[in-house]
Amino acid sequence: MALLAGLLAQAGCDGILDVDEAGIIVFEDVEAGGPTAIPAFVAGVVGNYQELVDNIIRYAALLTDEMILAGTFEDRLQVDRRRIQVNNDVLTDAVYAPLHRTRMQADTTVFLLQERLGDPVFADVEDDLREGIALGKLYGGYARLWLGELYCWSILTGMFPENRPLPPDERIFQALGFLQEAETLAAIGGMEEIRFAAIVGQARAHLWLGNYSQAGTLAGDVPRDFVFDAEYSQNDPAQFNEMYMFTWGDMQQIRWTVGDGTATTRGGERWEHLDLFLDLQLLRSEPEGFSAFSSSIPVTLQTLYGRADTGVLVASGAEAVLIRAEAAVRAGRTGEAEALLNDLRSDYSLRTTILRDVEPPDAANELAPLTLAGNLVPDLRTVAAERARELWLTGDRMTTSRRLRRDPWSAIDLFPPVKTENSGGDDIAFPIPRLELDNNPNLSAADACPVGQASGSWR
Amino acid sequence: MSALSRSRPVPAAPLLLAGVGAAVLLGASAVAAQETASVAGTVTDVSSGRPVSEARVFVVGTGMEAFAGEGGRYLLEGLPAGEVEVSVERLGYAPAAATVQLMAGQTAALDFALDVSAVALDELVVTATGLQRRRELGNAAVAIQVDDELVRAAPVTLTNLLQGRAAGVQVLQSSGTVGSGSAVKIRGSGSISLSNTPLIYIDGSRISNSVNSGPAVGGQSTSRLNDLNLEDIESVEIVKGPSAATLYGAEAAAGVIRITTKRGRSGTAEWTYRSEWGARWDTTEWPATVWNPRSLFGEVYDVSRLFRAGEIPAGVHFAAIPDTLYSINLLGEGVGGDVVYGTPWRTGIEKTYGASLRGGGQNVTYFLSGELTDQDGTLATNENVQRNLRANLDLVPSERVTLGVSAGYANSRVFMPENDNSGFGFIGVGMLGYPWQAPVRRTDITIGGEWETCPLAWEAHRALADAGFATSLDSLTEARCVDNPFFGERTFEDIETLVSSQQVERVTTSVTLDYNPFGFLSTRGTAGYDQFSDQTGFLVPVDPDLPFNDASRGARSIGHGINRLFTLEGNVNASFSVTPELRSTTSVGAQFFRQKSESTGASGTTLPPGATTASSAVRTQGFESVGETRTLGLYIQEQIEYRDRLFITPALRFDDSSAFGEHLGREAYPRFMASYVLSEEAWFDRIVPGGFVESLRARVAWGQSGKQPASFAALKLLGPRRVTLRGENVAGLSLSGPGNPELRAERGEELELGFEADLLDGRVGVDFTWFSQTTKDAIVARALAPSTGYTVPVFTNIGEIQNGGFELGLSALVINSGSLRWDWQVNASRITGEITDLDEHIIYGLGGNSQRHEEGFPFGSYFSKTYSVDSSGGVAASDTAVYVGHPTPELEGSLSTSVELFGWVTLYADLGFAAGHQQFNSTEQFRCGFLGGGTYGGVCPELFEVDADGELAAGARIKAQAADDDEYAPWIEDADFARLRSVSARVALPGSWLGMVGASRGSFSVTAENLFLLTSYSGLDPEINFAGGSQSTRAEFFTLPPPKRVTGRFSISF
Repeated sequence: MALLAGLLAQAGCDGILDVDEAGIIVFEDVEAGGPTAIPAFVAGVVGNYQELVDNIIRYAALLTDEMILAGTFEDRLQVDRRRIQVNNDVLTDAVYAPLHRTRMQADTTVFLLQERLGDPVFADVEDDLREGIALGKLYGGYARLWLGELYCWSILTGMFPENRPLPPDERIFQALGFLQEAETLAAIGGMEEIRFAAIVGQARAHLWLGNYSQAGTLAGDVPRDFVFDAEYSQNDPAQFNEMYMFTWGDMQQIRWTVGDGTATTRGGERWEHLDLFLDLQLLRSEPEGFSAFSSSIPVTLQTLYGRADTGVLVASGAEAVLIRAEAAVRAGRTGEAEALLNDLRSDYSLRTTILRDVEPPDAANELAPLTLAGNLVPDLRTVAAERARELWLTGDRMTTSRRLRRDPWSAIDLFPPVKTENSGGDDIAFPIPRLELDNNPNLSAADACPVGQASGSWR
Repeated sequence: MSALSRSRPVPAAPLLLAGVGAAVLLGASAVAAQETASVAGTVTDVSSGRPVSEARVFVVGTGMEAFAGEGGRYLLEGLPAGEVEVSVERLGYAPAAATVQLMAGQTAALDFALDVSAVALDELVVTATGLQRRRELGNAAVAIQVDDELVRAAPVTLTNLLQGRAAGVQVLQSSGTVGSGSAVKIRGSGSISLSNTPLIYIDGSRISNSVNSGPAVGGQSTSRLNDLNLEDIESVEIVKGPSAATLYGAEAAAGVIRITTKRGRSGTAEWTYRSEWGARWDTTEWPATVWNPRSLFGEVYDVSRLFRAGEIPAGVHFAAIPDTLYSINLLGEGVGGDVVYGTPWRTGIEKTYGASLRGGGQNVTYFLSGELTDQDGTLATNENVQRNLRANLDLVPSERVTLGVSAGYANSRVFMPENDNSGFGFIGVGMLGYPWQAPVRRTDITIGGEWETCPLAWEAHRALADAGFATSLDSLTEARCVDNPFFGERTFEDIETLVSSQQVERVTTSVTLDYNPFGFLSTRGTAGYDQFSDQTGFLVPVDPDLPFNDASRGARSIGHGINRLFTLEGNVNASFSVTPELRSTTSVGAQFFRQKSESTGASGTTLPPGATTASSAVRTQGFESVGETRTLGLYIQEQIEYRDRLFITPALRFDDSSAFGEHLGREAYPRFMASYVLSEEAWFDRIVPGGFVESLRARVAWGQSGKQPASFAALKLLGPRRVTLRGENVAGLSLSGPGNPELRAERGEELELGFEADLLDGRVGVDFTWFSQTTKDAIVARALAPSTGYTVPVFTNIGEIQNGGFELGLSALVINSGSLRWDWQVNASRITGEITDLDEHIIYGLGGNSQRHEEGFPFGSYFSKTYSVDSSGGVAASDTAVYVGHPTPELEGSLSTSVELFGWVTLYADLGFAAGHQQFNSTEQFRCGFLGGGTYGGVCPELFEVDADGELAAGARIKAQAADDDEYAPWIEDADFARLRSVSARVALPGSWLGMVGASRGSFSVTAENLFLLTSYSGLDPEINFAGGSQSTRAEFFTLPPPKRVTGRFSISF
């Protein structure tokens, strides 16, 4: 038997060591698939963004006053208390890593597809290649936008590596370039959906960068009823909307709820628009059968995401209108701003009912037209309140709150009070996590945020 | 079986099993019996005169053998007439031999009186090249005789058996959950990111060594080592370290455990029946949860925070207001001594019934057995039912050919309770309960009707007001009192509705063919197959009243897996004398191994009433995975033997594997070993006083062995991603694994030196080994910066690990008289290890950062911030985490003693000990942090410790600070312990009683386990681990401690 085995080996029977490769996919497999593999790569870009954005919503909601934590996880409590440690694994796994994976997948896909442009083998799918490239640029741009809006600063490795972290403005400027390319490619290819989403993203970037006029002008190109969603599915838990899962849909006690001011262990945090949202049926108080980890935590659940497959707004005509309104307010065009906002308010309940299956409010609770004061700060607050409703639970509350607090002209602070009695802090941004600090040769342990910042005061 | 016991015909069943060919052979033997002779006699202890049972009596140069029965009597039949040499072996005695002249048709008498001998140099040990005498080996060879241990200590599983019975073998206990597994390591951890579990062989067939399977219940897992029925095992041999395991090839650097099952014995058939009954119960002193009711009043949440904030009213010390503290203990004494909700505990009953049949003729022997075990844990949802069958058959068709067949079948079903890191765990929901939501059956509290469910809250309110604290009735309403103090408001009854189970069916077979065509040439081939299929399930029954939110509508997950392991190995040994004093043995061998695992599964949520299948669910998902590994190895070994006392053995093994990557080609592993029996030299007696040293052997071994990475670790991989795009579900691809094309196999290298000595006429035995091993090119799962887009680590050869230490085995026969035999055994090892080269540290562990692999420190060390109290009473934490200990004991061992009275009563005690390590008491850390850290306003007692002045003690201040922080030095504690693992008494039933029922032997024994624990560790138990069978992650975290256990065992043979 020994001789037999030895002879087998020595006779070059390498096949004896061949194993079943059914469990893996390598790049060579995909290359062998030729044009048929293109949709899978492009879908991967979209899928990564879908995984990302509902997670962003959850943690942005905790850091702001949109929601409080109904559970006990310490890492999540750190976000709720606004004192985030750099070793917050949950935040790393849910937001930071998916954000970079989305960016890398988008950049890699663009690179792979661009290589194939002009290749005769791919001649029949050239339109698909161009759409994939446009989508890659779009999501690459949005990923960079989030990096700038959510993090103190950020750094890229892999494709397009950087040797230093970029502050938010630089990152968002970089995002702008990607979104402009996406818009151009989409315009050439007649891909309206991608083009409008790219424009909204650019307008958002300009808003951050303080280019209000450009933001307003760009946003004017977007149809008011334009909607671009991240999609989810009932078919598979991997495609469930996590916002739904963490409120209504999981076997655990609900873990995200809306503060009504009575949870002393959460600093008595109260959602600024609680009463309005209850009236609009966007919230349900104490639904039967749903409880938090302790009865001392109130249960007020959101209804925007009432199903596992409810989509999440990525870009919309409504956001474009809000950008235009803010640009108008900042330019002193109060009447224009008022008209834009009231236009949105006029059919808000109807749109929400159609888009997100939220039950319509009683007639008495329908939104009435508003009047702006004509002063910058209160009017910006009013626009922010409109954003809070129109863009509720899309991550916008955190980015708008941070943007306004960084704005020296308005000095508006929408973040909830510092919860010092609960080991709370004043974080308004996420730090670069320790996993990155430890493993990126261009960073040191002290580079979580720019010099001078520490847990509890990330900016 | 006694050869002189009452003669019984061989039953039909084994004959059928043996097959027609065997029956023919038996028939032929019967005819030949008229022309053969027999030898009969008694084997006794020369010192005490007592009979020695289980001694192997055999005719030298043939396969003919018999075993001495209970009275030491034996009978060898079917021997050829003429002169034969008969030899006797028994562990604990020096071998003896005698020549006898046999006459056809007659029985010759031949008695043996054996000298005690603690060191058995001529004991046969199973090695990679076949059976070898211990004196030939350069390594320490440990063999555990399982029957002896079963009688003494009633171990339940293979890992129980290994605990403390071999120096250098570390069994990392995990919990008191019935059916859970424990990790096993030999001589420390030689690998950082690959498995440190030794390879397991049973009758030559490699079997799964997985110690981490089963349903996800928070941490504990089942072990495939538990599938083995200890009653079927003859011996367990442990091959330690790379130098001993070289010939086992590319995956053996962590050592090898070779299991030999019981074989048949020629002679009349022996039936053995046994049954065992036992009980286990929890005796843990569960800590109470203490509540500071001031948490109800807005801005203050616990005493320590008050202290730090300087908000303590002048003149008020915490010791002065004890009335404001309330406690509950849901796992113990309840609320104020009133067990309102009951506890989850029960007395776990266990029952075992087994039978075996052993016998055969000179050409066919058989061993058949079956056993049923039913064990209940101390929690209602914990049960393990296991059935084992075994059929072993040996055929000797000619003097030159032996065919052995082993077949084992196991069927088990284990139900595991939620615990450890689970929000549904019994320990967690009990220890983290909310005191303010506990009702109290007291009549002295006069309160408003609306608050009847919260008497403690009301009483607290009044006590605080009396102590001068401003309180607000309104804020009290914020507590939203309900009558449910359990964590998550899940009661024990709620949790008991969850069903987590694993059902396993396993078949392990091997066929071994020995063919010795010439006197100088022997060959052996083995084909082995191990297959286990498991079904792992989890069910939340449909019950809208359960506090599981959406899952109260029902949830089900089910997974099926099949693992197949195939072994094919063969070797040829050629042995001849070069000169009268010099002998050469050349061994050549090959081994092919294939392991393939396939698994599929489905899960679903929202079930119709009464449904329990995933397919009934509204939402479902499925998965499928496949994995395979293949290795091929060749070896050659040359043994030079000089005068049967000096052995020099170089060897070389080549391996190739299925692992991809240009650097993962063939590997060569060399070995050299030497053994020298000094005591047999003529000059030895001149140097050493006669009688003091009976025998002395020195040995040395150096060798290498390897460890291959997984087949696809070098490849850059993509992963499937399900995507919803424009309303359609489409298949996407996403970046998955970065791969490392430079990956190489890691290589372990070891030098060991040792000696064995038989002292004081064989009454004292010493077995000492020093070893030093280094793992080079250690494979490390290196985390990548997430900005690369990859979240899975990449395997990289960046590490070097050194382990070293010594192992000591001591045995002493203190008294050996006719009525009393008293012996002691000590097994101890001191093993230290250090990561000597690692470009970067790897942070992991419970909480994500409690442990590290870091250069200059032991494997898996605990790192933490340090805290100090400054002159103003404030607490400062260090900026960085520093080394504070490691979880693997440096010193570990056991001390056991056995007293045999009058030849029929045996008393036994076994004390295990470990020292030089730490344990992360995360249970208490979390309890204090969770309840005292501002979340719910409770506190643990540690935060209330006051000094002589009534001020908060420095230790309490530090713990209060650390409880809020992310790294928890105060809860990493020394975990030295000594545990009285077992005490037993065995009574051999008198022959007169046995004779009445026609039995040949019988016994009754009682064993008590875990009777006493000596430790300064303040947690639940120093040996438990929330991470089940993990070898690197260790912490206590709401883990079930081991219970006390008492069993009675009855065995009778006919």
